[in-house]
Amino acid sequence: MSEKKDAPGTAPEKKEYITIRPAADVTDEYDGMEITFELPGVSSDNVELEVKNRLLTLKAKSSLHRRGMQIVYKRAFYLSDAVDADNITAKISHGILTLFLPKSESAKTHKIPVE
Amino acid sequence: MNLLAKREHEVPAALEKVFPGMDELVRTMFGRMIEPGCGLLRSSVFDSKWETEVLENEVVVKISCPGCKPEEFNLEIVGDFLNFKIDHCEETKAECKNKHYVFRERSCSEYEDSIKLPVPVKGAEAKAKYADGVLCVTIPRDMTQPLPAKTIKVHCEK
Repeated sequence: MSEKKDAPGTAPEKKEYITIRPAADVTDEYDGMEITFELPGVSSDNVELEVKNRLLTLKAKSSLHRRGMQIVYKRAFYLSDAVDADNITAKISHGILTLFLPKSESAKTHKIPVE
Repeated sequence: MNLLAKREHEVPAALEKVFPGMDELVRTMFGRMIEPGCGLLRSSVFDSKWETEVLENEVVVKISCPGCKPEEFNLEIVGDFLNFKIDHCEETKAECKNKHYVFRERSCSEYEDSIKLPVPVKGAEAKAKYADGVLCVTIPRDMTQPLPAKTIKVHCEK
């Protein structure tokens, strides 16, 4: 993998947005994990979420600006094989994006009663 | 069981180790008067909670406060200052105790600040709206009061 560079002699592309890594909480529950992101100024239409090669990527455009540039929130997490990536759900309310990552059946905790 | 891999995509693990160490080293040398390095960047650029925009007839202040409820805001305009207080606590201590946090970055507390408005305003006619985690305060400008401006002449020495 290599970094994309501009051709020699060309001016670098003008950046019109500022990238911010949003704050997140991650909690572990019995049947899955919950990730909560703070995304102020972001509506549901401006959120892009994708999972590719076990990499969960978030990109969200905000209506807020910093130093005259639009804020874009970006963050990514590698997921282990224990996450059922096909059934991840997401909802956004008041600038808080909540993702639920269900555990695959084999990753759930099964308590064994001792007789 | 941690379902997320230890390292994140954006920040290489080596950098995460270096920056906290650097901050601590500079703090030891210069004290805690300012937060240099990452701390300075964080506080001055990325953690700025509000932005002010002066339009032709009004001043718009946008305060970033995700996950709040309208009743948690306390706003007042005194002279040309906008004072705001957000008393926000998402979860009770009991709820917090039952959750198992893998990691936690979001803060859950009260926030208070005061913003000097750049132009004279009609504070009594201010309106506030909360949407998408942003509190938007719109205050009409007071055109009857002159702007506190002074022209400065520049002299050039030959």
